Amino acid sequence: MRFSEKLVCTILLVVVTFFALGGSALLYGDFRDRLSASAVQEQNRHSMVCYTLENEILTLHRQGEAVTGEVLENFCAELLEPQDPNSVQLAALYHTERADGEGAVYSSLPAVWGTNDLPGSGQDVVLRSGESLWRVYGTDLLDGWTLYTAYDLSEVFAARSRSLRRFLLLEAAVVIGAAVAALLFSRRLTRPLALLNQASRRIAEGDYALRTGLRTDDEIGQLSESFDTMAAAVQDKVAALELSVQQREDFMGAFTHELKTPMTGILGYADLLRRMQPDPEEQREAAGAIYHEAHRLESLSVKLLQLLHLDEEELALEPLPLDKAVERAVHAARPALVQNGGAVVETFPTGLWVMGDADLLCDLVLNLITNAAKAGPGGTITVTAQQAGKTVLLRVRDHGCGIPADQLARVTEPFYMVDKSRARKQGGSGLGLALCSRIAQAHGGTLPIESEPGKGTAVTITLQAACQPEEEGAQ
Amino acid sequence: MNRILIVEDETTISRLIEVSLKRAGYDCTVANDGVTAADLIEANDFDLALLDIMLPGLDGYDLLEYLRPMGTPVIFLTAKSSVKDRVKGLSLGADDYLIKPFDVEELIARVEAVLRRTGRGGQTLTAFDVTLDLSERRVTRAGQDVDLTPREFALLEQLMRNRGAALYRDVLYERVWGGEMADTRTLDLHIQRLRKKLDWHDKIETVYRVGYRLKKE
Amino acid sequence: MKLKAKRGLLLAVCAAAIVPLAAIPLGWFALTDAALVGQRQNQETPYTSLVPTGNDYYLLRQLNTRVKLAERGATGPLYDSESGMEGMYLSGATYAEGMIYADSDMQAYQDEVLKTLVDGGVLPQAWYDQVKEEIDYWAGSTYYSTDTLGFVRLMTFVGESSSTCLLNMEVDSLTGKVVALWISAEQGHEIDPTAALPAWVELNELDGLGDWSVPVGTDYEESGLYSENGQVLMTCAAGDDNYTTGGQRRFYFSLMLGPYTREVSQ
Repeated sequence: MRFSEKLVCTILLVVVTFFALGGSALLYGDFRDRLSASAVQEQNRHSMVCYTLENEILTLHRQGEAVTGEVLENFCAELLEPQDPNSVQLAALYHTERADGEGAVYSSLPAVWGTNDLPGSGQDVVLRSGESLWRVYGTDLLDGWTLYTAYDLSEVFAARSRSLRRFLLLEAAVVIGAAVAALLFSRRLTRPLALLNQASRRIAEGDYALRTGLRTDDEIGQLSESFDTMAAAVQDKVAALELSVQQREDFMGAFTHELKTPMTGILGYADLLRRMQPDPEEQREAAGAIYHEAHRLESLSVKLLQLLHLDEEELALEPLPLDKAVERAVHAARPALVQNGGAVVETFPTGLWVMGDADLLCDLVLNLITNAAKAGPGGTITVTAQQAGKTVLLRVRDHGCGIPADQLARVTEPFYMVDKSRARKQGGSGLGLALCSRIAQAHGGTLPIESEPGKGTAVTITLQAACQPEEEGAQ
Repeated sequence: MNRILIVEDETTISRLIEVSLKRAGYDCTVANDGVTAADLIEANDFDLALLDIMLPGLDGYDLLEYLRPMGTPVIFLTAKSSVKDRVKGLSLGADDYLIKPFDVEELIARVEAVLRRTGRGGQTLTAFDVTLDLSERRVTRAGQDVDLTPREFALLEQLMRNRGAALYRDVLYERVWGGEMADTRTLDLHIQRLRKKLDWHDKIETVYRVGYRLKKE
Repeated sequence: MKLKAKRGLLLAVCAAAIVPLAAIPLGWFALTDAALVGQRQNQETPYTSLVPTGNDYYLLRQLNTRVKLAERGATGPLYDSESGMEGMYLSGATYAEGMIYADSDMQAYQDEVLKTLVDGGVLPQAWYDQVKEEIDYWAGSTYYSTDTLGFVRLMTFVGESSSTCLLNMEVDSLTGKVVALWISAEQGHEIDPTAALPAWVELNELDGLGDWSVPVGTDYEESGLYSENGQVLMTCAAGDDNYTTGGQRRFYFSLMLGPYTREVSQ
């Protein structure tokens, strides 16, 4: 059963119940009023008859005549005999000494009413005779006479029947009207739910970009808003998952390639040397290849381990002097500088303190200097630092070959190499900048790279500035 | 001699393949990137192409598009080992697939198998006046059939495939008989028989403390 | 399919529920009608019976009129007075000389009246028999007189020209009702006023007054019934006849009906 139908059914049941109850109460009240109004009239007529009869009895007494049954019967017949068959008044006169049904001096009451049914003195009762209902009044008169008069209530009941018929027609109209209105109304109310349902089904089928876009100011509106928010979250999550899967696939692909290429070389040449004794020249070539490839594998594994290590552990940053870290890095970079045509590093001591891990920071600067040296063999590399508010900007600049603009964004991806063959010759693994970027991230900073092909590259590291510890300053 | 195009951006590997194939008697051309390879493909007619998939410029799949109309068989070399990649390569029309790191022997065997399958040769090896027909397992010397035992045939094949290089005794034994070398006599005896049957007394040289070498022409 | 069937069923149930709910007024009226029929209840303005007065009864009005006229000593013809028309009243004689000798018809009437009293349970049979016996024994002569209101007085004396009255009764000539009876006999009999008085009320058709009661705190506590509505007293007594002259002891029986105003003690 659809929700709208449930709604319609419920509304109809409620409307019918209350309408019927209210109508009943109203009609019943009306009926009671009519009955009471009728009762007042009946009472008057009854009293009138009572009075007339008693008066007659007293008149007979006054005249010294005997009050006999025959006299009163004749009187009653004259007074009470219905003039027409549709008369609304019936009557009976009893005498106490002649009770038991045969005591009636005069009676036009229906035979079905026994003396037990009749009311006591000062009472009235409603009795049924055939189709019609009568109200019977009883009163004890003088000298042990008892008078009953009965009045037809048909008109009151007929009026009630008419009202009832009108009411039922009205009720039918109301029910039909309410049904139509409720149907339209509930359709309109539940339409957003249907849309929501449809949307959620389509999203479940994979249409993550779908939104309900319903904007009403009720709960359904809130629901659809929450739903849209949820759908957006799901979409983001799915996109993130897909991206992450893609990234991992890319990483794995690149990693496999980087791992297997040197291994192929090593295995191939090793096999060659194992099988035969080639020319000395070939022998040298094979040995050299094995050495270089193994070296490549080694540097790859070192960087990879560092990268994994960075991913795994939260860094404990501590204040350290920047100058010292740069000095260490320059010292460590000496072999690389020599290898790359004796490049020169210019440093400018600043006396700044930053939050960082000494070893990682040194590695970072070392990597950048090495990169710079490879980019511009024999050139000058400048390392500068400056404080900007709460951050310290450390910049490594070279005047080497530079990086093409379209590849600038990808250089920090693992295994990405701008010039693969040159990188290979220089023993690069494609992980250097990826590592730098991760270290910068671990320090809560970024690694923006500016470069112009042929002119040089500037890599900036943003670090958190630190206060110089008291005791260090004192020494 | 079959002409083989080697497309591989890693010079170490391309050199390795080149040396190995040349020794096995193939004419090799090396290209280190996709664009050079494409140029070479358009200018020459190769019997076989060994393609690395990850290449700077055009990748292996792109190069396959160039080679398909010419009917040149292709063997992919790749570090990617997932089934998805393999299926992609084969469905695009590659004849075989070799995953790095690979054994050089296996590479040569595959090359031969593909060449044989596509009817582009690879059935025969020739040195001096001796021709070794691999498909029919026949050896002729100056047009005359030479009767060789299967061991002798295998030994000759090993020597002819590695011309100019001194092959170690134990490796030779391992290749021909399989397993650890029990004694040197068996190998020496077979070498003597070969020298006699082919009249190659000076062609198969004994290298002191190493093994044997088939002289280069 | 199953779901669809269930939905149809629910809709049918809903429709089926609406019909009886819509018919609530019918059920309501059926119930209230059932409660209405045969249920006795008190009338809101019950009829109160007329309160009759003495003047509503012919007999009492006659007596009242007689008393009123007698008090004024009204005699003579009708004339205009300041208080309206005054009626002329001639009272009947209460002594033998002024009365008319009663013939046999009148004596039979007298006997008939006595018998009516006996049959109505007012006059004990013993007293009736005593009276009859003494009348026969003394051969008492009977006289009667009438007044202008129609009361007839019948008196029977002991023997000829004796002043001793054996039986004295006053009867309304129109209705034949006895308003007074006096019996003086040589022998008395038991009477029961508590039975005789109500019987006499009924015989006189005065029970319509409705408030006959013993006048507690008066001389008539044991021998009378009083009606406040009618302002009338009935007595029935018997005992020694101290009023009769002559040495012989006599006993009396008396019935009296007359206007009486009981003094309210408070």
